[in-house]
Amino acid sequence: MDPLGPNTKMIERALDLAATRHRVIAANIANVETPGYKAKVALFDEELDAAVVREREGVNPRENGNTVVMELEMADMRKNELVYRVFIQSLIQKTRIMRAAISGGGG
Amino acid sequence: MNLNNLFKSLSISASGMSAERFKMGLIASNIAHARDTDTGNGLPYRRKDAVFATILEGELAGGVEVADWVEDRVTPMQQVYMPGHPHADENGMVTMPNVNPHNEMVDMIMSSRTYEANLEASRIAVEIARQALEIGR
Repeated sequence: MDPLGPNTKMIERALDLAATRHRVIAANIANVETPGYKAKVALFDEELDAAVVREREGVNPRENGNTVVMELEMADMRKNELVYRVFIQSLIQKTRIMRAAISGGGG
Repeated sequence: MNLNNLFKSLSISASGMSAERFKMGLIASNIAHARDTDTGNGLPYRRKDAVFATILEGELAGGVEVADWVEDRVTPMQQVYMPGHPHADENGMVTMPNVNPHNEMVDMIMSSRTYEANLEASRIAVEIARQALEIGR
C-alpha cells in the first residue's frame, strides 16, 4: 500500500502533466514570431498513461503560418500554475497527516 | 518528482529572450542607419530582419534561435530630391534606405513585449519549482 494514500500516484501524474504543460507553453511563447510554427498543447493520454504533446486546434494561422496566440498562452500559463499549486498543497497536506501519525499527534 | 521539464522551460524561455534581444539589436541598427546613404561601398543602407527558427534537438528543443539575418529586398528604397547632396544622381535624386522609423518602433515594442512574456514564463517556472520544494518542509 502507498503510505501516503491511494491518490498519491494520481497527484504525481497531475504534477508531471503540469510541468510538461509549462514547458510546452514556454516553447509557444518563445516561438511567437517563428514563421510556420504551430502552437502546441500538452494533454493526458489515458491509454498511454502519460502526457502527450499535440498541435493546438481551432486557431487561424497568421500570414506567416504561426498559430501562437500570446494572450491564450499567458492565460493557460497562469491557470496551469494555479493547478500545480493546488496539487502541491494536497501533497503537502498528505505529508502533514503522515507526520502527525508518526509523532502520535504531538507535533 | 521530475524537475527536468521545468529546467528545460527555463532554457527555452532564455532562448526566446536571447532571440528577441538579437532582433532588437537589428531594429536599433535600422533606426540608426535610417538616413545612411553610403555604407562604405557607395550603396545606401538596407533594413535588416532576423529570421527565427525553432530548435528541434538537444537541451533547448522547442526553443527558438536566430537562424539568420537577411537584408530586406522587398520594401522599396526611397527616392528623395536633394540636388545638393554628394550622393545625388544627375537628376538630383538621392536613394535613401528602405527604413521606416515608425514601423521599426512598432517592431521594437512588439519585440520588447515578447521578451517580457518570456521573462514571465521563466519567473513562473521558478515559482513552480519553489512550490515543489515546499513538500519537504
